[in-house]
Amino acid sequence: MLTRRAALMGAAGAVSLPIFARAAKAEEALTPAAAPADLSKLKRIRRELVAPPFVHEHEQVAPGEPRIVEFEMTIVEKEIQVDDGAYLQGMTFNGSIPGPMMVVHQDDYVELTLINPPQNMLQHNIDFHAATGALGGGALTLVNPGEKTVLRFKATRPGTFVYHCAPGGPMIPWHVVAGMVGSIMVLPRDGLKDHEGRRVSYDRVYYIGENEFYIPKDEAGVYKRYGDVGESYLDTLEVMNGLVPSHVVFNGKVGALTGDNALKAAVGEKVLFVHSQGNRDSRPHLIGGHGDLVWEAGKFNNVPDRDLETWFIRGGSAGAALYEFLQPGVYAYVNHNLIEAVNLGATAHVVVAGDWNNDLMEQVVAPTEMTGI
Amino acid sequence: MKTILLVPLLAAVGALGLGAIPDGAPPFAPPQTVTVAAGEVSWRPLGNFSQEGKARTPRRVVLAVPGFEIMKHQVSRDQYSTCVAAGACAAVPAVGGSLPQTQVNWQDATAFAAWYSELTKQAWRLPTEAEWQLAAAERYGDAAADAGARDPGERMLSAYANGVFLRGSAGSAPRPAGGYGENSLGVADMGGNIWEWTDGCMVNGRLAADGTVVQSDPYCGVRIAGGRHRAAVIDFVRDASVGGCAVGLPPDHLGFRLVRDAGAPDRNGPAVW
Ligand SMILES: [Cu+2]
Repeated sequence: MLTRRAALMGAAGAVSLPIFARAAKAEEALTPAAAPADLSKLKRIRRELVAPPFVHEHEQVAPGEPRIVEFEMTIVEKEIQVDDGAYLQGMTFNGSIPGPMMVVHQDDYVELTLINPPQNMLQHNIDFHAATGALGGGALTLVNPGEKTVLRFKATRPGTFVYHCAPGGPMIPWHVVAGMVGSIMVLPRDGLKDHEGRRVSYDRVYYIGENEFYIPKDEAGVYKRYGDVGESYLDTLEVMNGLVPSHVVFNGKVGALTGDNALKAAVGEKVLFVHSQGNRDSRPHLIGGHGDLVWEAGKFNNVPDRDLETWFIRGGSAGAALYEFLQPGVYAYVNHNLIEAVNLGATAHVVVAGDWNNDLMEQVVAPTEMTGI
Repeated sequence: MKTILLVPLLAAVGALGLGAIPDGAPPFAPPQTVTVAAGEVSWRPLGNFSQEGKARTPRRVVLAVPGFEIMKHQVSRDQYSTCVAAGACAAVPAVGGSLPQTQVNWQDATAFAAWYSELTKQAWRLPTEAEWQLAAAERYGDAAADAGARDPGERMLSAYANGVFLRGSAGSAPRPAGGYGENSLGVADMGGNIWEWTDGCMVNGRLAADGTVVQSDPYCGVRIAGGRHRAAVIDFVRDASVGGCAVGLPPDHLGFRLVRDAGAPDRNGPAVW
């Protein structure tokens, strides 16, 4: 039996414009469009995206006038193992779940080349929450397999924002929960500022994209596996509509940011954690640490909250939290719905090197047997 | 997902001799059909077209469509369930009764056509887009942005306004066969609240300065459903009611009716789309 992909390719060759078509009368006059924006004097810089949790090289303070920042992303449809015995027919921006984080400065122009290679089966596009108009660019970027498009938008608002695929109708939630979501950080031109307007910087930035998956099970309760992404749709839709995820994960799979892949930091380092969730609410918490400065909604024109224990990420947004590590050891960065953290997967680890501070915490009596009580 | 291909099956049927008397008892009374005489439609493909890098809507062209025979009514739930019972069609959520079959995707519809063709030894298939447009007559609708609309905002507003206008006052529940009456050709329920799958594919391409198509490629992962406003729907979607035509203007239900070819089916004929 032919795969859907082969059937599609076969069908594609059979269609052509009949020769007896002739142009209708000129009933619809073409009017001129608005003149394209003249950005010829702006400098261009090309950024190579890297897979999360890492973020491409960038300046925290803009080095001069606004620039056109070029990015390129290729959409990859592929099966991804998200846990032992659990496979997702994934759809990805640039091969990773979440898609890579882009960083620009306010008033820069983001120029994205979006590629949908012929090996893919489905149409995709991109909706930037940071952009203004045309459904965040979604209305201008729908690409079939074998097509590419270039979108440019001005990053007018500073903050962390989600981008996601939104190719119309019931495809929208499905593509998002299949992995097509990422984030962009638009930094203020003069960098981040604390609650008193003083400049703050970070030593490291980690992008933690949270995704929830809805993987169907068979009658025996075993996760089903599918030949291709189209084949997984109808079953997945049924699970999705129940709103009960099978997995809630950081960086695309259970354990993606633990063990060998744990995040690294050192005592005295300030780490910016950017956390996105494209579809569902989350509540990040750093076990044993805090959020020194937290832009819960992610938007840097707002005064950051201080000293938070847990912060809220609205579904469809990205937030940012800055924390200076004060103690060495292993920290768990979790979604503090602990069922989701522990049982469904939403846990990352941060391994922090340095010297212990007994003033902050000291073990007075190690757990011992309760004798003589 | 079951992938049943129409073309090879039809070819096999052709080899057995089309128009032969069915050997088994028919599972349901032969559907009433309407013969649509050859005619012309004011046609434009549905998809993404660009002109000098910007999205544009193609200018309409006059397209000649040969005559054909089409079911007067949409395929009913009872008829479809016979195919499901025979193991040739996928079970779908909407079941039972004489209502038109809805919640079928393009693959379900083509599987039904293949099964029914084999059963009756006749060549049943989904209509081409141009055939559907001709059969819909005055009920045909297309919510594409006007060809004159240039900037993205104008294009979105134009498509939305066209869709809202075409949508009129369609109710949400499917009506029994005939519930939307007949059009001027005697075809029932065209342009009601059930959109009908066609064999047409979404098309992408480039336009010349006069708005005519100079280059195009079909993308058949998305098929065209005819209705109050044409909709481009992914072929495995059974319920597009949360989106489809333009922003916020989805088809209410997805159903289908078939065309019967008199002679040997010629899949390479002119009006494949
Ligand atoms: Cu997508």
